[in-house]
Amino acid sequence: MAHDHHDHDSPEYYKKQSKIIWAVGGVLVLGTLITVGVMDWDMGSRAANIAFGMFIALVKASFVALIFMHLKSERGLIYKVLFFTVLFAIGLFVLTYLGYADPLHSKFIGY
Amino acid sequence: MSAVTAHHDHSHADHAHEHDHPKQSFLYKYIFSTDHKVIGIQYGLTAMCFLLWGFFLMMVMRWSIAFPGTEMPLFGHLMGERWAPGGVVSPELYNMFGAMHGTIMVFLGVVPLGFAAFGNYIMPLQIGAVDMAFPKLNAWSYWLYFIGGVLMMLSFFLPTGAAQVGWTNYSPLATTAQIDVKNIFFTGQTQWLFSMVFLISSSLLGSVNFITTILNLRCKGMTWMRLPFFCWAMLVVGFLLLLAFPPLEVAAVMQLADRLFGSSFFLPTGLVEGNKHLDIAGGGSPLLYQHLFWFLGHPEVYVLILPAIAIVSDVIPANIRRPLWGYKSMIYGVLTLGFLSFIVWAHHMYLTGMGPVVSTFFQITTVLISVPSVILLTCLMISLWGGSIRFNSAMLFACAFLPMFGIGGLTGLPLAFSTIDLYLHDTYYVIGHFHYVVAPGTIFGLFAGIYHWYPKMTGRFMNETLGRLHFWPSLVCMNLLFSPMLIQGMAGFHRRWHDGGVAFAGTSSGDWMGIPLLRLNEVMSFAAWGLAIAQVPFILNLFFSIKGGKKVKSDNPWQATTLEWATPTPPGHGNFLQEPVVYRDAYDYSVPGAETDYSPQWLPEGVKPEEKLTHMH
Amino acid sequence: MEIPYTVKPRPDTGLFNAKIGIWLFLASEVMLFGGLFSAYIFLRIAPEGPWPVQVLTVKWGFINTLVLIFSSVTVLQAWVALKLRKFRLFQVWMTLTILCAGGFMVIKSIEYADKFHHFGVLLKDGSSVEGHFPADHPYHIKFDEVKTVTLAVKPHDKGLFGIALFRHGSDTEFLKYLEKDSKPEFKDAEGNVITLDDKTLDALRAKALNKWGWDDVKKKSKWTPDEFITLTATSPLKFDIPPSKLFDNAYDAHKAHFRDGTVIDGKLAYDSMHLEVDRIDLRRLFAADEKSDQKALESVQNADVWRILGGDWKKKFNEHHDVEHNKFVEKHKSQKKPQQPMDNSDYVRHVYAMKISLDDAHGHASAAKTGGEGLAAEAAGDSHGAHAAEAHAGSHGHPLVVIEKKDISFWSNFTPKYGNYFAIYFTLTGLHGLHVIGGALVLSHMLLFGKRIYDKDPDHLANRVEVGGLFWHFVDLVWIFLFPLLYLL
Repeated sequence: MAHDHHDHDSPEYYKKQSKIIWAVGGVLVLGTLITVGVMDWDMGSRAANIAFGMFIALVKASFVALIFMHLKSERGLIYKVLFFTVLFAIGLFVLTYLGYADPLHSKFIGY
Repeated sequence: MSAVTAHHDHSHADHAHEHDHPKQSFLYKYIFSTDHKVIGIQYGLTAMCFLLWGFFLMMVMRWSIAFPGTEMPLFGHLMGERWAPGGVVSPELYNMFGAMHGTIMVFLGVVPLGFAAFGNYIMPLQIGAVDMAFPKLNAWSYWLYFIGGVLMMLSFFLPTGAAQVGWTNYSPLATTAQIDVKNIFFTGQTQWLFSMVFLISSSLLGSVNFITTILNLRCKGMTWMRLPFFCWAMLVVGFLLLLAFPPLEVAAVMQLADRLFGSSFFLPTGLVEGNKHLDIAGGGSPLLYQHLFWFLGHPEVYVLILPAIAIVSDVIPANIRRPLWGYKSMIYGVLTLGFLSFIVWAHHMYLTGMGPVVSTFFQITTVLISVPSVILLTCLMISLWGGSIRFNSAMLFACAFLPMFGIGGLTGLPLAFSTIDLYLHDTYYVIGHFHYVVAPGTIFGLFAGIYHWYPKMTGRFMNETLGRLHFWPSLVCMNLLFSPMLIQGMAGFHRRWHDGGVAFAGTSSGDWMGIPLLRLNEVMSFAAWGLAIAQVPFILNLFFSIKGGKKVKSDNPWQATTLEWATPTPPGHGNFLQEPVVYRDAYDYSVPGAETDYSPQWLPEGVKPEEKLTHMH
Repeated sequence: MEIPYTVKPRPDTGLFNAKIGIWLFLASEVMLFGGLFSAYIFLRIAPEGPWPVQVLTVKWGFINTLVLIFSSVTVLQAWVALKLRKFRLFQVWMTLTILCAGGFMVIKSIEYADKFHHFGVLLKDGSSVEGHFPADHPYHIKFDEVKTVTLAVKPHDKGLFGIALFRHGSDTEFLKYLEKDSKPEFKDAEGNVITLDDKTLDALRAKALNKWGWDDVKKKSKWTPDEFITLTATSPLKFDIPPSKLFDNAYDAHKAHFRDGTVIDGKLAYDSMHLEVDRIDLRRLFAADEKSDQKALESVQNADVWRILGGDWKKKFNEHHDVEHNKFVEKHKSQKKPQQPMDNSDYVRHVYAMKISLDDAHGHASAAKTGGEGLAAEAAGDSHGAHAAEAHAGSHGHPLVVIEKKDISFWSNFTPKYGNYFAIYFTLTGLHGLHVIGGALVLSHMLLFGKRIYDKDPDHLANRVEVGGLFWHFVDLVWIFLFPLLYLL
């Protein structure tokens, strides 16, 4: 953490940050334009469109999380908390979905 | 980091009641206080009131179970003719009290008492902090809880009465109940959800505060492996509340939408009520609600039980003069327990027709989670071995906690297996099982904590004779109350019969239900009322000892090792007279070579406790 | 006796308190929105009917996306300004951020208002029509010859201990729906003539409660609490009622049941819905996994919608189908293994959920390209080329149809009631909107009251803005997923 905090005190560091922020803002606008622009493209199936749209959203989200929210240079503690959070969120979804996708089947009943 | 210390504000003599805001009004000192100790006591007193009320509801229900259709003495007519015509507890009243008993005990009673009250008071002291990390948030947390509780109480006085479909509030019943009114917002079912949103917000603020405090405000020298087990448990509970509650909030919001805006998140297509298709779009999933509910519901079980285990694991070492056996394995145990508790929830839902794959998964995780639970309990029991036990009231409750929680845990094992659970589901066996966990289990743990820390909070001991008068009848009544439930449950008694099974016993399909099994209802009901009488000594003790109890002679009356005993009695605002520094493990009792049988955390090697502990009254 | 690490980070964790606090809070927010997104996907995977796709106006969602991105940049610039010790600049950027939040909510409310005025009607056979009620003809039902009115007293609708916080039972609201020429004059059981209003209703209630004793009730029936006052109208009354005022659509040819328990007896005189149809949906008429386009086409030939819209529209639909079908085949014939039309949900949606309008200025799914003459004379008047999706109630350009109650199996405006898509749309964007409002309030507090902290320790305010910003970015992050999920896909 030591070298980080030396940087964090200088005005140059923050002036550079300001520029990075604008650049990332530009990237996000670009991502949005792509998302809207390609939505009517026929990619063969709706699933492909959805996958592509979600991919762009994921890229945008990564930029926001890593740079706007400083996650790329955050402390280990935060990573740990977020790791388990995401794990449990995925667990909630996957297990709920499995509960629906794996019903007791009528073919097991009968003689 | 300017100052962790408090000493510049205090002269040695008057530290107890004066602090650095001497002009603070009563209102801000005791009502809207931001001091973690005051908030802790506020939580404690409020939660105990709710516990009493929840207990009262159950006693009314027990009348209906034991003596269905007969006029209830004393209280029957009090309920109002709408709910108890002629003093007879109506099925509707029984349903309402059943739903609210569960809700109040879990969300308004035990969790606020175990986690919020004890955690608030003890945890910052044990880690050597001046307060919680966010004192204002802490006060907000209490007041949100208070508002949620008041709303829940007011719902009893709505024309529809309070919620009536069980504490789990399952859809579609919970969605369609009480909608035949002009204003759906002012119905018990809606208010249940609405006040739940307040309670969840409160617990969210609380858990953020707890975790931040433990992570960032530990005093100098308080490394992770010196942290008292109590604080470890609070950390885990904090995370359970933080991450498990939001899905319930989602479920509550969605059910609110279903009730108020007519959506059908949890309502299937073609739902018929009163011979009429409901005017809904349908297409929703009732199971989705159950998943979201139990995603909280199961971690919530550990939110109920962990504070009690935590309290007991502080009370036991202090009263056996030995270190906690297996301190590290207990920590790894509690962390594993916390993790696993997020992936066992659907064992509450075996009966919903989940397939073999999913059922097997949840059986495995459920059986797995018993391992860390057993580690915790075993460590506590082994700790007793070879100790010189001091049987004060706190220790009696702590000792009783072990077998009682043991019974609760072991009776849960059969329920982990789906085939057995299909039979036992919704029977009194389940009720007996989890009441053993939370009533003689958790609540005994909480009693132990009250007796143990009372001298720190007030400067006086609670009366030991009254303590014993409280303990022994409670122990007997608890067992007379809950063990017959296991027997009835195995025989097939359903948990939601308002008449205890009388109506069913008279039918040909109820032949098996012999008279002796039915008569157990009376045994249990008298045990419940006896249990109520057994709490009278405690209530008297709690209030009269404030002024009339035996005064403590030192700040560390139990000669314990953790940091809360290094503070003045009672601790003032800011807690410590000087910045505490921790030199040793949390439970250094009977260290070989030491002159006393306890070596407090705050004393460097070679310093005798008496030399530095001079805050006498 | 200050709490440490409010400004400077604790050495071993490397974090100041509020930073940990906000990340923990965000973790719980991840679970909150994670739960909602899970619910969304869970409901989306196997919906029982066609899932509405691309029914929102992309323009608004797009603008709001840009607004949020811009506000994310400005809140960070405000933080940088504090770090550079430029307080005025901080104020400027922060003000911009809060204005963005306001703008976002204004656009949101425009979108919401749109949905409230757009209706969908599911017919008995499963086909559906969507559109607006004409401005001069909202959906009301009329009751004639109402002679008897039954008021619910609900005397024992009281809470525990006999305490009641609210009165249940009839009030006089139903009198609002009396037609102008009807007078609320009734005869009670004893033959006294009264004009019903709040005062006389209260008197009636009091009288009913007086003569009524608990012993009687106990003898009659233990658990049924309702008690009623029956009034007879001196002259037959006429009512004109929005159906939403009735409990759960509970009315039949003779009775209407208001939400407060009041029941009127008479004759249902008029019960037709007028709708300016802008879209029909026939996808419920064949199985979701129907493979044959020809079979699907056959199955929709006798749909209820044609009875309502008329045969000309069926002809147009079939033309539209053929055009789209040929287009599809043409497009895919170059593929090695040509895709079947029915495997392509876009095709199915374009063909079997058809937009309808009377004018020419329309998008890809409109069948109206072939002709603009009025199928419903009223609507033909001034078609000024308004876009179908943005048409407000009362604007024309769409055929006006009349639908009888007996043909309707379910109807609603595009609110959560209409189905899971709109339910989850409103829940997700509503909660997101609450977060925007909450964030804006917190940031406003920093803007308005930050000076005091800034003067004491600029880094303290900078930390607060950073933490507030983290929340703000999270709100943006949620929207980044919401926008494609709800608007585009």
